[in-house]
Amino acid sequence: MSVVAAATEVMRVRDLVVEYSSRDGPLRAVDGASFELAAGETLGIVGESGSGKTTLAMALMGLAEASGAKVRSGSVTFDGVDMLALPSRRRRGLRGKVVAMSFQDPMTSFNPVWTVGSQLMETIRAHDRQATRAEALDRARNLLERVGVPAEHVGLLPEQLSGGMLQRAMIAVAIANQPRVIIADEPVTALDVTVQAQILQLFRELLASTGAGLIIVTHDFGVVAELVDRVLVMYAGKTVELADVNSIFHTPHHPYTAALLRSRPKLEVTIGRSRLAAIPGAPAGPGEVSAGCPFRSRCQISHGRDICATDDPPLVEVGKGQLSACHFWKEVTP
Amino acid sequence: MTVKGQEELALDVEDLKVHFSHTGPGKRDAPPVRAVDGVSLSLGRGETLALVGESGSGKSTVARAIMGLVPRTSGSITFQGERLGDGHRSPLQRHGLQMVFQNARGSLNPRMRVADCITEPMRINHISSAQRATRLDELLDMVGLSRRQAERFPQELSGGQQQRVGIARSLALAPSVLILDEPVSALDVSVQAQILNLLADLQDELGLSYLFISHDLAVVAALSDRVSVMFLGRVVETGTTEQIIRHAVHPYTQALNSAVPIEDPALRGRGTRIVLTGDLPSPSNPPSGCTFHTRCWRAESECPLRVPALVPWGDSDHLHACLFPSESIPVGAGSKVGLELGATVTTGPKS
Repeated sequence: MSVVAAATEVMRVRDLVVEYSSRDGPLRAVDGASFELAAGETLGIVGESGSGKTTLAMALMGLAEASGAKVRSGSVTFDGVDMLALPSRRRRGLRGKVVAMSFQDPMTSFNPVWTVGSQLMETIRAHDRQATRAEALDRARNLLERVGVPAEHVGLLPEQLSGGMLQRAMIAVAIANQPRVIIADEPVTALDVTVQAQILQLFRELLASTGAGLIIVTHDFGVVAELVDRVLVMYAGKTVELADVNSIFHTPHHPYTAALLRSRPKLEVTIGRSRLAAIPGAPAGPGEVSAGCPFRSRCQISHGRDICATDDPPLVEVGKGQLSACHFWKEVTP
Repeated sequence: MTVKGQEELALDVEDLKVHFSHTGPGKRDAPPVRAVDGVSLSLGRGETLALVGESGSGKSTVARAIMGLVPRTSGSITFQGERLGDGHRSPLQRHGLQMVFQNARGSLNPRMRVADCITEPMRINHISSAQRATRLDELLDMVGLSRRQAERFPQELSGGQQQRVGIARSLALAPSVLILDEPVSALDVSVQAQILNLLADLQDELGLSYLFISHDLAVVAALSDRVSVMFLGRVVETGTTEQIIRHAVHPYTQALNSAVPIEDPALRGRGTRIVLTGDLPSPSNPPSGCTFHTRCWRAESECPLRVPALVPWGDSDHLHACLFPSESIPVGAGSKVGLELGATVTTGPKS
């Protein structure tokens, strides 16, 4: 595992705020995200539905507007260049080349009437206008082989590939132009466990060979435990905890993180009927919490204390490299 | 809990086959899809039997055949001692056997209030409105919904509440067996434990039997007494949860178990992970002999030639369908050692 402390920073995000407009005024889907990503590092963005994790991922790609949202403030910097400050033409030049994304559902992300190969070639030639069709085809075949798809599948339509194969092809599109940062939105959620294991293995091999930074957006702590170096936990648009993966699992300092980890049955520990530590209520969506801590109504350590209802807890350093947004982080037990 | 005498069985399925034939132009002569190809299972009263396997293994088709939602090709289904006819749902089956679906929202009518969604099965079965109202209150209490929520529409509720509605509706006619088809897979992680605990409580209170279909082995382990593992329309291993999770002898079960992510980053690099190569073979043209041999790392020359029957492992009720069963997972030929996960056995036919 490689938390590369002194490694080169490839991406820096500062105070990113993303909003959707609604009849009742702006809905803040991402409320101040800040982090850095080093070369070869894997950051996991963890959250439930409505937490803002996919909106954040789209904003990191400079695609917030494409999904109907608006970046209110903040910056997303690659090598000193703030992508969000660039005009859209130049943004497009970075997308795919510097930062690339593999989307949640490979079945619907590919164009169903184009072959997988032609969609790979399109990606290659978008950034390398000199490449001839023959060269692009050659590179497409190499890319497919690199992600474990037989090169002869280059002429197949997306529907002719299985879910696992299509996810691999999607990853091939993402790495086609050697980006420095890859963003993968729920890359294994739609796949069977046996295929999940294959894809996680593929990510490990690709990171080791390319040195790219990886951001994985997921709700699955299993994926986090297997692949991720650092974890950013989101709840109702806010970053509630940011820490290295071992601290998250063994000394979480936010009650939401701790409760989520407790609520999952653990195959390596319990077998046979066992009662699970459930979290009451349902996750809060954007705009549902006006003041105070968004997690307070489900929190098991708040005990109705006033400060939780009145003051939004700031994200503060609570340990070496560990940030938590809880007034009572000292009371959190794993 | 093990299977007791016949009279204790809530549900008994013998050699169930469901084949789908193609109907498209030019496809009529294509071989049928053998979605379920000889599955037997038995569910004791108050017991939970889990059915696990990858997508395409046929586990949902088994459920649908038991519910009478797809016609069976052959085989028998006995529910509380009564043999169920095919195509026609007897009153016993309609009342006593109910199903909870994965997509709670999709299975509820968006134009009906929650209260009506829950009482609809009773209305269809001519239960008086006074009785329906009493039963509704009982059901809301059982699943933890308020009267106020019952007056709303399904889409106004959260995912977890929608699944509570689905469960209440399935319980309306006081069934003895519930078929749970991935009941928590579509729910947020923080809500899954609530629903699993609710299902466990209801089972204890009402003495229900569950046929629990899931791909999540950690959830299965926490809820089930016994587990049957399906591959390509057949059961390849069955036993107690402990036998299947800790002492599996079929290579497919072992691969499934080893693929479950270990939720502790400190344990990265420990243990053996079997990464199955390739995808599920086609159920309309399955491999010869043992259908798993094309993905199996233990396959011998005999495997493509002989179909293994489900036989006991030792003298226990732990059954397997493998010609070369073994509890040990060898780090054998073709393995790659030293990757981040430690030993990785890459599978594929030896040749």
